Amino acid sequence: MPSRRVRDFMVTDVITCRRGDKLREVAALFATSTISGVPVVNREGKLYGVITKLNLLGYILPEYLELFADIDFIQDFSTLQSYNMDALEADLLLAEDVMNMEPLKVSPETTLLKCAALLTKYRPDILCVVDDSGKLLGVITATDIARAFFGKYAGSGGTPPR
Amino acid sequence: MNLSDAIEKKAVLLELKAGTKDELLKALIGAVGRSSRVKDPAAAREAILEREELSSTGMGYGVAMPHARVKSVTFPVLGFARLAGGVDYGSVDSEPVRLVFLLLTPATNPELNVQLLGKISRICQREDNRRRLLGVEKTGDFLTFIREMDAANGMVG
Repeated sequence: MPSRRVRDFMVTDVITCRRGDKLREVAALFATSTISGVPVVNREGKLYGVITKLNLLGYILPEYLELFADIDFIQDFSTLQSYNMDALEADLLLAEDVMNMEPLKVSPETTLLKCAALLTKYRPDILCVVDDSGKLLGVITATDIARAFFGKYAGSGGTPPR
Repeated sequence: MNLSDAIEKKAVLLELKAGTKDELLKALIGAVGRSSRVKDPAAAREAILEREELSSTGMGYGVAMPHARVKSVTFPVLGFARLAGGVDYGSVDSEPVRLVFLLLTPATNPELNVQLLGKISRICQREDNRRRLLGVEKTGDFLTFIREMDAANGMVG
């Protein structure tokens, strides 16, 4: 059985943003859609980075939480204060300021099994699919790969999603 | 991380004379670039100017926060300039800028960028803090102020 590849399961209609877009606008995308990550591209579609929903949620939290191995002892999270969002509120932040500048990338010919390995090892929210020049072609997520491998159990025959 | 950990003392410029935004950035970038923590000053300069091209970092209230994430920077570097006279910075409120915090952070740590910018932003949103910054006479006074802000998380002016 031939290996299933990214090209047959990736999402090509991708919501993207530019480096100079205000972070508020990017944050709004997460509030109004189910996407887990937004690639950052230039006018020609070249990939510069990725902003993920989990990254943004992390900014809401105070930095000192990182020091605790166990957060279960915190009875009331509402008492915690974070000033990270002050820069966002001041409209100072752009996509450029928070994007992951080295996102995990795959090609259309990468096998889904390799994608699964990357996702389970490094836990990115999305994998960006690029061509040899670094131009963004699409994205692929754990959901897309799960549909490919487990769709047969749902009676769909494992057909490509969307 | 505390702001005081990031400050480059040699890049605290009080009563900087600059007539334009370009002159101001050149002077402050130059001072920060001489820090031993900045391994590639040219790359840092390019990153700051490129970020400024995307959108002005003049946040209003006479304050600007030019900043960039730089691959060759492994520990944050913070410089400060107080201008003798206000400079047109293209700020959101069109007001001239007199207080400038310039921040370089590692490219691989966007969280640090957000944290430190958030702290500076919070400090500068208070008029009493801005007044103090406009009045500091020596680098030591500035450092003391920043340490106070670190201790109080920017809540005390």
